[in-house]
Amino acid sequence: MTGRPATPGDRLAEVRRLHAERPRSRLLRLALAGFALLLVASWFVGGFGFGELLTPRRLENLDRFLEEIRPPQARGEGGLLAWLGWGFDLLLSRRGLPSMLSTLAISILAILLAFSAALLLAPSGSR
Amino acid sequence: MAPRAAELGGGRVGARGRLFVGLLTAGVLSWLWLGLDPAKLLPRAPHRLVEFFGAALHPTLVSEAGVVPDRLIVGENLLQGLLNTVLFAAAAMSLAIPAGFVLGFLGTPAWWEDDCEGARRRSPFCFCRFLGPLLKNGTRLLATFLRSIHELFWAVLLLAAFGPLPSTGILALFLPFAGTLGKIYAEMVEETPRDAGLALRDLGARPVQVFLFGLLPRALPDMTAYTLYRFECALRSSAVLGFFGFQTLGYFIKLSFDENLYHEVWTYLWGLVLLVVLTDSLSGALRRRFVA
Repeated sequence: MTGRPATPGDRLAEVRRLHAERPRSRLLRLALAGFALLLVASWFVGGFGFGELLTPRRLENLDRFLEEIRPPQARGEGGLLAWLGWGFDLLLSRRGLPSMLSTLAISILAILLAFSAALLLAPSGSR
Repeated sequence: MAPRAAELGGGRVGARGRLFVGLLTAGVLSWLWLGLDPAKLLPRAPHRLVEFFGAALHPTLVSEAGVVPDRLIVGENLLQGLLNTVLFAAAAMSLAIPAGFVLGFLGTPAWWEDDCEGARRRSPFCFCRFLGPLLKNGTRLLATFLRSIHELFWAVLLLAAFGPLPSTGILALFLPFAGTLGKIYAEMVEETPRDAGLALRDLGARPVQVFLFGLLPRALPDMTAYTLYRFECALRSSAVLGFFGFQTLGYFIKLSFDENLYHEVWTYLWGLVLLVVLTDSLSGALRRRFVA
């Protein structure tokens, strides 16, 4: 290396040069701006809003739903213990455990089938 | 002397073999538990199957049942369904992305754990010891809860709670997508090389500055690519929400399917396929530019 040592001003100029020369894609920027525009425009074009969720009738519905979704054992007094009792009862009942095992079995078979299909398709789909 | 199998990587092959046998055993056990009978997979009315798939070759834009025969009523429904599918997905993503950022930020220790060694020595009640892990684990638990419940389950719950409103459908998509984005964003930030962040920290930057200027910019391309992929997923989910009464593509598919109007069903299905292929091509091209 030759010449004088770099001053802070030189370093700043170098950083600015690198910043100006960074790889940029106009298409990429346009596409991302388009995507952002779509996200914002969806609310106006669709006429969506959350005000309708907060009308007295909807809030009444919500109250009733939150009351009904609680298991009977956990209504009223009892607190956490009642919830735990309900959880164990559900898991050990005739429906709880078999349902969980069936969910697991279906997931295992589905992922094995998907894995086999992917093995067959991957060579032709890959570059 | 011939090399032993383990020296040639035989040990690893053995582990893979065991994994393969384990998966196969799990598959057989699952099959037996579910009591699957291959004979039951065969259709009971093969002519209906032929009729349904045959209709794929002849989609229609006019009503198959002869309703308003001089109008392209199915074509109009298709356009309305496609538009609503995109709008629901976009509105849900517009909420899920910022929520995912917040969950991702709070769910990763990447912005505070590098300071922990010294902080622990200085104080037994520092952020790193209690509040940090509590914040991280609490946020991750919340994200796991949100994404554990599938969007269709959220739709059922929210429909029961609020009734059939467009905002119910948007919320049903938003909640699990926010959880998924939060988890993935947090992992992406954690996997980012820390060198720039550490350099900033040594220069006196605060943890939030380290996150914003040292870690986030390096993770942003991957995060953006993943967000685009999730938008595709949101489109598919948005279409399926129609089966619950929201006027996306699924709504029109269900109406036609219930009436056995298979040519109309295929018009909507082809529309959905086209939309997904188009979005996949566009976002795929963008993703390749990002990760290149």
